[in-house]
Amino acid sequence: MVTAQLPASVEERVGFDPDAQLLITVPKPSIGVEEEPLSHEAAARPSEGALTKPTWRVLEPERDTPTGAGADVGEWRAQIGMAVGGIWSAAWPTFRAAEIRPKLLPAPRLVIERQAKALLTSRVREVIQPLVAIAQTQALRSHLHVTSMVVRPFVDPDDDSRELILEIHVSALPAQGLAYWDGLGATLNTYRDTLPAATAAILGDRVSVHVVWPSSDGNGV
Amino acid sequence: MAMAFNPLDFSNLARTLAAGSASEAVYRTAVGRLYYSLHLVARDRLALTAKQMKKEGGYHKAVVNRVTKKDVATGGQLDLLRVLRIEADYHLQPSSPQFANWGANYQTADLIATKILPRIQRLK
Repeated sequence: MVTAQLPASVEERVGFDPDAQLLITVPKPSIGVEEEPLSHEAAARPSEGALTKPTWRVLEPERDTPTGAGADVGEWRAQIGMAVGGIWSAAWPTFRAAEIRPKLLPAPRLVIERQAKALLTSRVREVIQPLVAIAQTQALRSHLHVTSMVVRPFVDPDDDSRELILEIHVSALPAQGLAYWDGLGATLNTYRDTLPAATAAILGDRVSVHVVWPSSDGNGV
Repeated sequence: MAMAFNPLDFSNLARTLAAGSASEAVYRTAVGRLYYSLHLVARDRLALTAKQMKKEGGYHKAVVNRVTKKDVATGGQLDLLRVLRIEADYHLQPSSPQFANWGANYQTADLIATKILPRIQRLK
């Protein structure tokens, strides 16, 4: 059951980390799951008019930093368009296939590292946006808490290749984290099958999904 | 003709090293051997030629991509081993705070290598 009306757009709180990171938090509700049998899928899905086309952009501190009296240094509000409706729309086939019923729940913090910006093309964003929603959904199914998600670049000097990694940070033991990763992978396998070939190829070729759990102390080395 | 090298000997070496003296150099080396063990098994199972790998983004990326196309989780986990191997061999300072502890990095690599080896051995 849809528990709230999807907003036409999402106003997000945006903070700037001086340590070369762009921090994006989404205090408004996002997508989660309610594990019930689907009996009224059509009723549960928001109308097309309620969906918002996703329009991501990485914030430019020079352009987006607030000015004038009252401006909170390091934090400001801006319209970003990682709209919940857009994610919902893109991920819907997966939810339906997995008999997951979306509802509105708090979203984890999403961090886009500054160096990732150059690799965040519009097509890559179209792939990453549903991944964020699917990862959160899978976490709820697995009863895990996603503490944050990080999009960061990776350069392989041996292959001279560059790609993005979507890191999903979970609060879990290693075995739980791996089990979550396997479940998420199974869902993404299904989701990828619904995508056009060129879009599906981006997953793996230009974007990898990693799950990160708190490391043990090891032996301190 | 000499017998082919068994890539799993790299995994055995990694675990032998890690069970001995606990130093950052040992853990970095062990992480690298774990990755190459899995990389070589996957490459052989996928029967990838050098020409194919070069065309598909490079010797390491091509193998990860092919595995990911078969299973996103296994491909991602192999990719994390690849990232840790690059971290071990090229980064004197951690590229990300999560990689700061080499004992923990090795434990993660060992856990993942143990888990995905059977899957990679079944690749077709």
